[in-house]
Amino acid sequence: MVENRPFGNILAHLILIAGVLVIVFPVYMAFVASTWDPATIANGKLGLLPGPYLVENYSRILFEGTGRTTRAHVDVMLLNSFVSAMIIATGKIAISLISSYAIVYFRFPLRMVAFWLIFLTLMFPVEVRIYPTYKIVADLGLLDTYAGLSVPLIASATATLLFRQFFMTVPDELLEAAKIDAAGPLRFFKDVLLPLSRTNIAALFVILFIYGWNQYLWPLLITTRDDMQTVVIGIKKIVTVQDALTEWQLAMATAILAMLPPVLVVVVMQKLFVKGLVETEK
Amino acid sequence: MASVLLDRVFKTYPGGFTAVKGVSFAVPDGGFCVLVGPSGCGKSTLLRMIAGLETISDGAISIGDRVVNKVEPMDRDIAMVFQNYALYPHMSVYDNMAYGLRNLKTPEPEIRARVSEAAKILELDDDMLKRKPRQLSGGQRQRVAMGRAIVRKPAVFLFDEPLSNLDAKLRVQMRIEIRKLQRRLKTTSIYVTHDQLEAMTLADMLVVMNAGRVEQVGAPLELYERPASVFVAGFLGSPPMNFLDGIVEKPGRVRLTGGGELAYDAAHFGPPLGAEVKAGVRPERVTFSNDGSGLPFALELVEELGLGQLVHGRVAGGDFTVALPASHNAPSGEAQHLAIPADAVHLFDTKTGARL
Amino acid sequence: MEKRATFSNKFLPYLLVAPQLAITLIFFYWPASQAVKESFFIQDAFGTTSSFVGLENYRTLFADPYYFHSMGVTAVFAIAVTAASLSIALLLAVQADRGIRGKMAYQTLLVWPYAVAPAVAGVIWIFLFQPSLGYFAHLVRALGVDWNPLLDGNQAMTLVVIAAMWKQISYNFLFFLAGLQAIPKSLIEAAAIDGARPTRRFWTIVFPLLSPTTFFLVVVNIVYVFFDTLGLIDAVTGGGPAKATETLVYKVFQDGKLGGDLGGSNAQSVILMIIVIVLTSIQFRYVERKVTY
Repeated sequence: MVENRPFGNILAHLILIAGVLVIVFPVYMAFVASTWDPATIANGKLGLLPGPYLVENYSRILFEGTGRTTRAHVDVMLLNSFVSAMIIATGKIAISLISSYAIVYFRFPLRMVAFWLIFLTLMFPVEVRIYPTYKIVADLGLLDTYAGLSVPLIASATATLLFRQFFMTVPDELLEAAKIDAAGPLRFFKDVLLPLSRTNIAALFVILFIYGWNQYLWPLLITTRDDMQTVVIGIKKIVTVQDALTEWQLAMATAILAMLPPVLVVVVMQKLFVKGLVETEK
Repeated sequence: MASVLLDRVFKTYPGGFTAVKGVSFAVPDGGFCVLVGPSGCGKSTLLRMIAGLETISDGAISIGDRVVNKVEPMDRDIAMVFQNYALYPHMSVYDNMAYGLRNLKTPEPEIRARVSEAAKILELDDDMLKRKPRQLSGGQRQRVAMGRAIVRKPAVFLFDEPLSNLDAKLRVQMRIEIRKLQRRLKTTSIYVTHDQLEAMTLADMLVVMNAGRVEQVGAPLELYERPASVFVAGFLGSPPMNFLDGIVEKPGRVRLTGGGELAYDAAHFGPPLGAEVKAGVRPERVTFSNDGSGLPFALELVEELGLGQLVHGRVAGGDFTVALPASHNAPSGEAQHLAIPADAVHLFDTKTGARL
Repeated sequence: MEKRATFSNKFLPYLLVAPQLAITLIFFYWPASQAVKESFFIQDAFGTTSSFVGLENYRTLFADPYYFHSMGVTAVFAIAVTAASLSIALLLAVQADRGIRGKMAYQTLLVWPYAVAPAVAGVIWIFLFQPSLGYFAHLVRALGVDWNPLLDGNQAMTLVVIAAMWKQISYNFLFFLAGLQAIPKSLIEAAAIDGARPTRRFWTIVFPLLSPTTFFLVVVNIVYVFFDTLGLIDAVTGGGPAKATETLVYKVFQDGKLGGDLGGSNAQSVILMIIVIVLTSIQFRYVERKVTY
C-alpha cells in the first residue's frame, strides 16, 4: 500500500465486519430457528442462541417427512437435486468440451453456423420460452424424470465459449508436436487437451453444479410427483406464505439443508469457484 | 538417414499471399543445412512444409527417395524442435520423450532404452526425467525438446529457431552443443534462424532467403566471401558490410557519387564502363592510412568492444564502419583517411543487386 | 483469431458438435420459434383449437395497464437491486483490497451467498420479516412502522429487493475485487507521489479504471433481476400483493400457468427475448475484445 495508516485499516476491518454480519446474520437466524420448537418461534420468543431441538427437527424432515404441509421427504429431494445437478454439470461440460474442440481444431463446412447456433442460445434463457419447452418435454414423455429435469438445461453457450477461449490459448505448436508424435485427433484430445483443461473443467464444474442445484422454474414446471421434486422447490411448498401455521423450524431446517451442498462447494473450492465465475462471465 | 530435396516449391495461402516462391535446393545425407533470412522471408513456412505441417501449393519435397507432399507428418520420418519447445506441460520429461514412441506402439523396454540413451547424450539425469517441463530452466527445456527429437531416431531433424527463447550466453553454449550432437549422430538436419551468426557457425550448407526466394546457397565462408547479391552481402557479417554508390569510370576504378575514388580487382569483376554500381567493403578489411592518402573519413564515434574496436564515421556522404583488432589503437581526430585494398571491394549492380 | 494448426477429418467434427446442436435445436430453437409462432394465435379454453389472430395478442398486451405496471415494477426492482448491491459490494471490495490482514477470510465469508438459491434466500427473508414472528419485523415495528408486506405493496417490494440484493452482493464483490486487483499498483503510487489524497485517488484514478467492470456488472445485475429472481418472487410474494411485485418474467409465468392465456404469455416471451437480445448485445460489446469472431 502507498501509505500505512493504522486508522484506515481499522476502519476497513470494521466495514468488512459489518458487511460479513449483514451477509451471515440472516442465515444464522435461519439456523437458530431450525433448532427450536414451533411454540417458541410462533410466540416471537426466538433469541440469538440455538435451541435444543436440532436433532429432532432435522431427523424429522429427513426421515419422517414434513407432515402437515407435504408428504415428501427432504432426503429424497436432496437426492433429486444432487442427481439432476450432477447430470447438468457433467453433461454441460461433456458436450461443450467436444463441440468447442470441433469448432477450434477442425475446419469443416458449417463450422461457423454451428458456432453461432450455439453462441446465440445465450439469447434464450429458459424463462423466455417456458411453455413451448414444457410442451416439448411433455411430448417426449420426460415429465417427472431425471432426463426431463436436466437434459433441456445442458446446452448452453457459456461453457462452450469458455472452452473455446481456453483452447485458443493452447499453443499451436503443441498440436504440431503431437502430429509429429503420431497422435490423431482423438488421442490428442485425450492425451493433451483434456489433461490441460483439468483446472478449467473443475472450475466450471463448481459453477455448473451450483447452477443445476439452484434451478427453480424448470423443476417447478416439469415435476408433479412428490418423489421427483428438488429441494429448492420443495422448500417453497413447506412455506405457505399466507399461513401463520407454517412450521418455520422445519422450513428453516430445510433451507439450511438446501443451501448446504452448494455453499460447501463454494467454501471448500473457493479458488476454483472464483476462477470459474470470473472466466465464464468474460 | 536421408537427403532432402526441394524442387520448385511454392506456398500460396488461401488469401492469395505467396510466402514461398519456387524454392529449390538439396540437402545431402547427413548435412547440416541452415535456412536464414529476415522475419517474413518464408524460411519457417518452408521448414513447416518439409515437416508436413503446411500443405505444398506447388512443386515437390522429397525425403530420401520418396516424394512426401501428401504424407502425414508422423509418416515422414522427421522430428522437430520448436521455438517454444512445445513440450506437453502436464507430462513428465520422460513421458514427453516417450509419447511419440508410445503412439507408434514401440515396446516399453525399447522406449526406456532409447529415452535413457538420449538422456545420457543430453546430460539429463534421472531426477530431471521425472520433472514437469515448468520445473525446468529454459536451457533444460531446450534439451528435452532435443531429446524428444533424438529418441525418434528420425531420418531428418528440423529445428525452428530453437535457441531464440534463450538468453545470449546460453544461446552460444547450446549452439555449440547442437553442432556437436549433429556431428555425433550424423542425422540430416535443417535449421531455421534469423540470426546470421548462428547460421554461419552451425551450417555446412547455408541457404539465404529473402521475400520467399532463395538468394544464395553454399558453404558459409563461400557466401561470406563471395556474396551473390547485395542482400546476402548485407545480411551476413556483423558489423554489416559498408556500401558506397558509384560509377565505373575505367577498369579497376569506381568514382563514388559522394566524391572520391575506389580501386577494385578487375580480375574478379568485369562491369561495363559507366555502369552504376554499389561497392561493398567489409569493415574488417579496412585500415586507416597514416600518410593522408586514400578515402577521406570523418570520424564520429569509437566503440570499444574489448575484442577490438568499431570506428563509426562518414565516407563520401554515407555511413561507414571500420572494425579494428584489439592490437590497433583507434585513431584520434576527426579527419582520417582509409586504406581499402582493391581485393576487399565487391561490386554489385545498383538496379538488380546482383554481383557483377 | 483462428488456429494455425488443425486436423482434417471429414466426419469427426460433425460427430463432436452433434450432441450440443441436437439439444440446442430441440430445447432452444424449436421452443423459441414456437413461442414466436403462438404469439400470433389464440387458443380456446380447452387448448384444443387455436386460431390465427395476427398481432391481436400484442395489441391486447399493450392495452393492458397491468403490463405497463409490470414494466414499472421491473424497472424499480432492477434499479434498486443494482444500485444497492453494487454500492455495498464496491465499498466492501475497496476495503478488502487495502492489503489488510485476513483478506481471504473476509472473501470466504462474503461470497458464499452466491451459492444460495434465490428461492431459498427468499424463504429465509420471509421468515425474518414475517409480520407476527419475524425477528426483523419486530425491529421494524419497534421503529413505529406498521409492517405487513402481505398487505402493503411497497413493503413487499422492499422485502424482495433486500432478499435479491443480499444474494447479489457476493457476486459483485468478487468482480469488483478482481477489477481492483487488476489496476497496476504503480498508478496508485504515481498518484500518491503527485499528491492525491486517498479519497481523491479513488475517485480520479481507481473508479474510472474500474468503469469497465462496473458497466459489465450493471448489465449482469439487470439480467439477474429480470430472470434469476423469478424463484425468489414466487417464494416471497407470489407477485403480490395486488401485483405489486409482479415483474415481466413473473407475469409470463403467471399468465401462461395451467394453460391460461398462452398466446398472451408467448407474446410477452417474445418481447422479453428482444430485451435479452439487447442486453446480451450490450454485454458483448463490452467483452468484444475478448471474443473475437
